[in-house]
Amino acid sequence: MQETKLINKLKELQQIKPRKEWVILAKNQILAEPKPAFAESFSARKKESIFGILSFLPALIYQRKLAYAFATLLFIMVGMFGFAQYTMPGDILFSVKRMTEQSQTAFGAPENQLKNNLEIASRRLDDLTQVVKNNRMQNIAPAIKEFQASISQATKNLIDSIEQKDSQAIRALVLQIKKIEDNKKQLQTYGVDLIDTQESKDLNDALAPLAQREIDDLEKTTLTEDQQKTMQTIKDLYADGKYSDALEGILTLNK
Amino acid sequence: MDNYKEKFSQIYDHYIDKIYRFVYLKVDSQETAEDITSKVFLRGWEAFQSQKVLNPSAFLYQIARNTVIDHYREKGRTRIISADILPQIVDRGMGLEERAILSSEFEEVRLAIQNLKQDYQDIIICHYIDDMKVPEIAEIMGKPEGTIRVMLHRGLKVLKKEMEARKVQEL
Repeated sequence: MQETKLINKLKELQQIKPRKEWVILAKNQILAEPKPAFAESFSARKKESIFGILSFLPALIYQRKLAYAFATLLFIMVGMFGFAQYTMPGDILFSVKRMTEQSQTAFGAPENQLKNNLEIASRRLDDLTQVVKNNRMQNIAPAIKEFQASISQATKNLIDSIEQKDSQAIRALVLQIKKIEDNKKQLQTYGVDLIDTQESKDLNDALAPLAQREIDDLEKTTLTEDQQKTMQTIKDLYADGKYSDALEGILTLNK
Repeated sequence: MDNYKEKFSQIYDHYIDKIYRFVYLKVDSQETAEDITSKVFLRGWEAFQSQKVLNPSAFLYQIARNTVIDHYREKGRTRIISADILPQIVDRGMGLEERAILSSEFEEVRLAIQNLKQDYQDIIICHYIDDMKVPEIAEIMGKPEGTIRVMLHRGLKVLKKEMEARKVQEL
């Protein structure tokens, strides 16, 4: 069959027409349909759209599949966050744990930032100790890296806020740093030496102005003979660049 | 509101034959065609009151396509109609006037169209029977004009083969 002949046959189908009585009847029925309210005015249309959304909400809430999906997602999220708290640096979910800690620090009071940073550093050191104790070789390098990063962050925060530290804040700070230093010494017994790292030196150096300020204040006061001896030791420590130890000595004088 | 009614009344008068024919060629009876066409214009009328319709032709054909698809989906019916049941369909669905008009060749073309893929059916009906231009069909089908031209060419070839196969069966 030729295409032209086929096309002509198709054209013949143009003769198909609906029944006239049906055309009229259908038209009357369709145009007699009640008019939707939104065609009447804009305000009515707006009202309907609001009710449309409201009427859709229960369907959305009670939609079983959606509810199951949401519950599953919630379950996974809770499980993931819970499980992440027991992870160590180098584990897949450790980033979730770190993110949770960072968000807690970020949303905390600005004056507590340094305290929180040092707490995180202390936790990272605990993690590292656990990793080393349990001989989890693949976690050691990430754990050291995480600890150093947390110390760097604390140092940065200390430099930024050093002028605002009062004697009480300094006391808390020195105690936190002392705890970290003690833990480092404990870790050293397992063969990991973090005492002389660049991060530790930076943190110690950041304490210098603080120690200097405290020494200046103490020199203005009257000291007993014993206190003067301690003061001399503090000055020697300061001169040796052991600012953290010097501050620890100052704490004993301020008791 | 009367303004809306008047405008839609004009649209109805202009497109009722075309839409009915478009539907009729895709379903198995006059009754079904009338039922679906009524639904198309009813949906069209409802939509016309709530939104601005820039292209009534594309708008109505689009509704017609979807309504026919819904019809087959709801009823789980097949679009393929065997030639063996043709006399029953014709007897049951068609009026005297129509039966007089439709020749056997006429019926063959209609059945051959119904055996085509949905997209080929739509394109062939729109272009060769309803005299629509390619850009207009492209808008209705939501496809590029080039694709429509290719499909038109292929659809006609498939239809030709279908017609020839029917002739062989008759022999």
